[in-house]
Amino acid sequence: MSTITLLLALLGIASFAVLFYFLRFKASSRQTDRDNRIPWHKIWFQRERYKETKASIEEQNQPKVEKQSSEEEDADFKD
Amino acid sequence: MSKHAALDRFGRSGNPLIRSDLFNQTALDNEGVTTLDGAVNKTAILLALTVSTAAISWNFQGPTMGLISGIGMFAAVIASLATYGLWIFRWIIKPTPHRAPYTAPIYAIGMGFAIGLISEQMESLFPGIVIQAVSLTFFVAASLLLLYKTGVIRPDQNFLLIMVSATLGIFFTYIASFIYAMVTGSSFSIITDTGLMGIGFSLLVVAIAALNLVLDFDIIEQAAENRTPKYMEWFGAMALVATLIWLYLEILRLIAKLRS
Repeated sequence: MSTITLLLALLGIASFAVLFYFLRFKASSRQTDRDNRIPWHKIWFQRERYKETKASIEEQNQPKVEKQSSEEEDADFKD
Repeated sequence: MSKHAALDRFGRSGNPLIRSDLFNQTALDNEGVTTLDGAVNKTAILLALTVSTAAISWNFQGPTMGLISGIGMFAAVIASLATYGLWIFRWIIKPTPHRAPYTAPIYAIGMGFAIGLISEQMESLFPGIVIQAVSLTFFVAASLLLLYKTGVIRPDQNFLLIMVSATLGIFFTYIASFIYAMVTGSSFSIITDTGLMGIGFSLLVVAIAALNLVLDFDIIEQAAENRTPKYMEWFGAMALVATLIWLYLEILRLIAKLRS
């Protein structure tokens, strides 16, 4: 093994340790407290958003049908 | 209808397009949410799987292993498409992060077989290249992590747009080169060339692959901050491992060009 390979191997071990040690720490406030962060929720939860949109539309449509039928019953009662 | 029942029924059905609660699908206890520790552990598990299968394909060379590596790579591509989806100007396949706990190990194992085969072939041509490439990969990753955590690099939507465009550009270049090679028998000289152009191209690809790591760190960080479901740990870990593998392969190619 050449000297450069040995040095790079040592650098690699140190870097591996640094990577797995610092990955556990929360990022600084300079990174987290800003308004222009990437909105990952909009990107990765596309399918869930579609399902929720569909469910909410169905949910909003459901009470209207019930309401119409109750009005009809009232009208019959008056007669 | 009581006040609580009405709130329960209508209060949750605000416009989902302007709501960001989906990312905050919080669990009441800490056991069901993403943590940085959990993401790190999952990354370690995936890397261990990759290294283990790479060691198998490294030590047992032959036509059967070539076939297994091919199947492994195909499975890895399917697994990543099933998880991250496919975006080419619009979503062709929508991302499904909840599949990550199942697809991430498949990806790691599949890519491990392919990496082992490629690494063994490169090592036989350039002794010591694998150790150098692995070390440089972790060095670049650790450096970018420190830059990200300290807030020196702050990814925003413009950064994301640039990275997606650049990554798609590289992806299409490789696809075009692959098709060209199948037709003519020789690939694009800019990819395989050992001259200044080829080295410059490899340096550019290494830089883009390295900057993709910043996006992965941001995915993990935001997933932990927003207390997303546990499967986001696998999702973030898979993204990080995929970028590390890409970076490793590009560094391997760059060193091979420099040593040729």
